[in-house]
Amino acid sequence: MDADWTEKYRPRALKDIVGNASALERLRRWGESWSNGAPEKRGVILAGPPGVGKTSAAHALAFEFGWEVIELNASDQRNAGAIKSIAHRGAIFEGFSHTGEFRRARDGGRKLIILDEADNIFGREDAGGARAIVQMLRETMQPVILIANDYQKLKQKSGEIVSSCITLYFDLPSEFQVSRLLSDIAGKEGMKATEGFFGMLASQCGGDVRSAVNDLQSFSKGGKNVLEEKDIASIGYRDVQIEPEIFVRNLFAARNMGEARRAYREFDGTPDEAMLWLDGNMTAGMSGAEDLSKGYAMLSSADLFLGRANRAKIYSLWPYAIDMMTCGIAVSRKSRAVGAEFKLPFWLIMMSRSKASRGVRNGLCMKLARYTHTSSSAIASQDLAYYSRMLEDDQELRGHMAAALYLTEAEVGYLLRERTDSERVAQVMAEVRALEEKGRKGTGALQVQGGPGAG
Amino acid sequence: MNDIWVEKYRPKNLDEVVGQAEAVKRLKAYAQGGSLPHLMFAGPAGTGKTTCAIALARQLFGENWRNNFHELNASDERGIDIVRGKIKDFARTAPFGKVPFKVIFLDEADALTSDAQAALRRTMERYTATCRFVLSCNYSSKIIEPIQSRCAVFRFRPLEDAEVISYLKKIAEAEKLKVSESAYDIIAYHAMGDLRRATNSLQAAAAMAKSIDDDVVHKTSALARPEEIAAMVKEAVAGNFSGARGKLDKLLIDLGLSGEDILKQLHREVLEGDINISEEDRIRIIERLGEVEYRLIQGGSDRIQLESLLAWIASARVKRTA
Repeated sequence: MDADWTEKYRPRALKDIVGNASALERLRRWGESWSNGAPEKRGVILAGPPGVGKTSAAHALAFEFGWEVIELNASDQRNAGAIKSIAHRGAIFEGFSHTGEFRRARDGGRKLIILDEADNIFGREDAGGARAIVQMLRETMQPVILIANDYQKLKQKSGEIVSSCITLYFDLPSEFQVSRLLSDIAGKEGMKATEGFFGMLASQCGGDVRSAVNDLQSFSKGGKNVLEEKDIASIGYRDVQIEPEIFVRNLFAARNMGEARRAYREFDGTPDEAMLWLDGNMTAGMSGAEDLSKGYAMLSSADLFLGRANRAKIYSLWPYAIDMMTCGIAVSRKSRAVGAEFKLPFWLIMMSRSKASRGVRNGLCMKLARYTHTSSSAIASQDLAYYSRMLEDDQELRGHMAAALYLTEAEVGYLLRERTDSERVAQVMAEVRALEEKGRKGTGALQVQGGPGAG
Repeated sequence: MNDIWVEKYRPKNLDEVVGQAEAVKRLKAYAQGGSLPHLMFAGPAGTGKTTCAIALARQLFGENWRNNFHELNASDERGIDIVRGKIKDFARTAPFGKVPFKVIFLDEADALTSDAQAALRRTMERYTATCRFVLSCNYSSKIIEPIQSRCAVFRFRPLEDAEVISYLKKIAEAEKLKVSESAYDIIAYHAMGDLRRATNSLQAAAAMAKSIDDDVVHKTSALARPEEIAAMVKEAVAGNFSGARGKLDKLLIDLGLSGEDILKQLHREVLEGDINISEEDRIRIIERLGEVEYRLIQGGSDRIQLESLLAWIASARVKRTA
């Protein structure tokens, strides 16, 4: 079997990476700065969409400077403990080279620590991880690279990490650059194709070099002499499916049960998807409070059937759910919505927009729940309102609780209804550090009461 | 202030527990005897169930009580996995030090699915040599019969206003607060026998103002009632479904409330709120709330079921009194 081309042609040196010349140049200069001891910024964040060469750049850098690599990716648990142990293993002290020769960190035998998917850390499992990373960035004698797809998310989670690093943005490479790379690889593999073929493949990948190389490899077995643009079309890239918008339009136009059932048959989604789209477009499709109420009564029954089906794993209930939502809507409509516009359910948009802040809120509720011996839903539904009020008004309590609960910047920001990088949040975090400092000196400033699991 | 008062003033031993004299008396007998059956604490929030469980453990195990006491909240980890994983792991290991058994406190046990409860029953039987369970729940009837019959059941009742107030006064004294008498009454009235809520309300008031009077506590009492609830009902009653749904989205997404939380708040709002409908229609809505809650328990989704409720209210089915 052939090797995976994305691995086979993974760039070994920085110059082999497609695009992003200036970011790569700055990365190289940062690498050079380590030859005279640790520079001021010991960490670099490589930010940008997937498949544009961030990980490759980190490895290429290590290769060029002869550094060893320690990788921590999301599948490892990266909580405070794990990070500290890595930091102490490689980051602060010296290491041995491949040949077993002892190398002092100062002499250049460094270890590059790579934290992949850095924007996904510090969930529930990574409590205290952010702070451990910040500490590592301050104390380490080893270069650290953090890789993130979503820079804003990383910044939201920890402004402090971001401010202790140099950030380098990786943009999508141009189609021209990608098509040239594809043509190079094809040349090495003895594949023949027209310029147009490479251009089209490059334009389809949306800048994701990795997926372009994968696509190219999939054509290598075709046995055809010279590949052309039309060969790409023949492969068929996406599954053809009736768009949900069309399903919704057909359903709200259905005059009877037969038409309603046909509308669903043509739609290739699950009942849950159908429900989501119908619900999101009910106000557009049903006119008048009376029709709307009857329509919702039908959706509500369908929803109940779906819930029972999913819970008890009795999928024979699905047809009833489907009939309730499709035929049910068709028969409960008395008047006709004219010229209605159907669109992506607002709920979906809201959910995706609020993803980050919901994550922060859930983490915060969980910490408060453990501390006050209750459930996070009790906190969310009642106590959080009190606590955010107290913390907003009482500066002393704010610092103490932020320290006792190991709150992150984002959580403090959520409580105070301020941006994560606002001055007030920074102020609270400074108070926390002061308290921790005091605690270390043994004044017991951090001794707050609480039952099991409080600390 | 440097701590949350709910924790700072949580009673450390059974003698300090507010109210619940009957339960405390029996629990103290267990603590003195050093033995324990499985226990079930049933009662509303903020009446001392968790406090009693912790105080009992302190008295049974002394200084190192934490080694032999494990607290879990079933509402946060409700699946069967919690029973098969965490609970079993803790139950099957020998107690630490010279004590005959360890204690697992399973809070909000009524949130466990019936499968999980069945698994729990087996675990309780199997590890009874090394482990005692203290289950807490709002209603004992939500716990399957075989578990109930294996437990000594304790009922926790909502606290009297006078009990709430005397506890608040102790805090006020320790924290050197100035609180007017009528402010205590208002806090206790809104707390409805829930000491946690009363304490939080007092602390929020203390954070807001140096001297705590009626005005301040009216503000803090309103904190636990999101204004979106009242606004949502108003929109629905006015026949504006889209407006009502906008508020619902906010409650579900921004505030993270569950469907059942929202129903409880709605219940209160329909009972007491300033809404422009007849009492007859209020009752019709309340009946509907019960129906919706039942549907949620059966597996309906929060959003669709509540939307359907709002659409029902918004339609002509509830007649508005001009």
